Amino acid sequence: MADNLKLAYFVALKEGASYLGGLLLTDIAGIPLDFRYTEPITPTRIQAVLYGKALEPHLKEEVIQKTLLKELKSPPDLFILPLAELAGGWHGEARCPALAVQRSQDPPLPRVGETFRASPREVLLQVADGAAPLRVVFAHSVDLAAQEQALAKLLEAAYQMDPTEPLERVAMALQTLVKQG
Amino acid sequence: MVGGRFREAMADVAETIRRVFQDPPARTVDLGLGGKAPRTVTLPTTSARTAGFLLEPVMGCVPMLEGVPPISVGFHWEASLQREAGWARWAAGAQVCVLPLFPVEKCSRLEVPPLPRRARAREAVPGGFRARTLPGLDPLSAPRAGGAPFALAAPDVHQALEQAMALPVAFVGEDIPKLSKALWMRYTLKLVRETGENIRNLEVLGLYRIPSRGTRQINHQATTGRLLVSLGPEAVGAQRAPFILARKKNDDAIVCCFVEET
Repeated sequence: MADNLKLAYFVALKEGASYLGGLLLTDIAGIPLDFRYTEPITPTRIQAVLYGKALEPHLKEEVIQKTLLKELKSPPDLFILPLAELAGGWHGEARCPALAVQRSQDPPLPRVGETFRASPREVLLQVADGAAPLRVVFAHSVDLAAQEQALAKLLEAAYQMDPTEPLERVAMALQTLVKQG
Repeated sequence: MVGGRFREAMADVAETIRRVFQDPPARTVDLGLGGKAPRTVTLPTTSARTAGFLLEPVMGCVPMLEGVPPISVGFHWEASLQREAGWARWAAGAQVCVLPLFPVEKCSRLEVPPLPRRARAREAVPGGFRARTLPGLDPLSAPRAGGAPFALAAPDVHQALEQAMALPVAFVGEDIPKLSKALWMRYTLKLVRETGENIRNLEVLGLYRIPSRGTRQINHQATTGRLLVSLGPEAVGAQRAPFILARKKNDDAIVCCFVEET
């Protein structure tokens, strides 16, 4: 089952007045299985005024993310995105738990696979001996049971890859696409 | 002696004061007008006559200075009644108005009706008020609503797996001490056979599980211990195999190989 894990990495960028997003689907080793990106969306001035501060979260989650997820044949096991997006009030979808993964500066936990719950939505996960644990933050829509399942999948992936690294690849790919015009 | 000098000084002072306050010379100033005596100019007698009044000027002469010609002279006229014929004409045309007398038989006595002893209450129930719309006002027509396209449309999506594959994938090294000793011995034996080096001359940098196909370029990050692998399209779906990266101690050359047959 672990070999069939599919991880989706989502990054949305703002380039000037335009927004675009990319979704990288990888296997458990981080090897790309699919990569899709959206055309840049440039909100009109009336749209910017009417949406106000909700424009950017709405664009990223409701427009870009949902459009990219629709393109996938099957929902991914984990939907990983930058921590800054989750902090902006990301709700996520129930069929694929949305979470952010970050390298922490906390002292290592005693054993690999051990977790420490810092808050109802934030967990420290030890993925390697002696290394700093990963900080995992879940979206509002992920309940405790779904969080435990997602942590187990993340631990499986972390045996073979750095779960935080593909996000950098998506951002680099988007930057490359923007430069190519 | 002192008294004599004092008297002389007092006499000098008295003489000085007398000279200062002696009578000043006086002159007589003639305040007359230099012989310009006023003359009287006699003006011609004027008179005006209206229908019934005779007007005569009160003053017939004005004092004037000699040599100044008379330019304008103001007169004050007073009127006095001489004769009036209007009363005679009015009396000749006057008429006497005779008022007719009221006939006696046309007078009658009017009887005043008595006031009611108590007020009568209305038995009919007044109908309810009914509002009535005025037909003269035209209703305000509803304005037309303009629909601005504010909904954010879903963007077009492109697939670019080649772009993603061109970026190096980071692989984390496996924890070698956790491997079984037999497995590790098998791996090192394979490494020695593939590289032809003595195991004592090799320093293992890491054991990674990377795709067995489609590997284009390998870079080792010494700081993180990760292996950055650039992959080709054929790496998608390829089986991952254990891969050992080692460095020769004598010349720091990097050697590597897959340690399991796939």
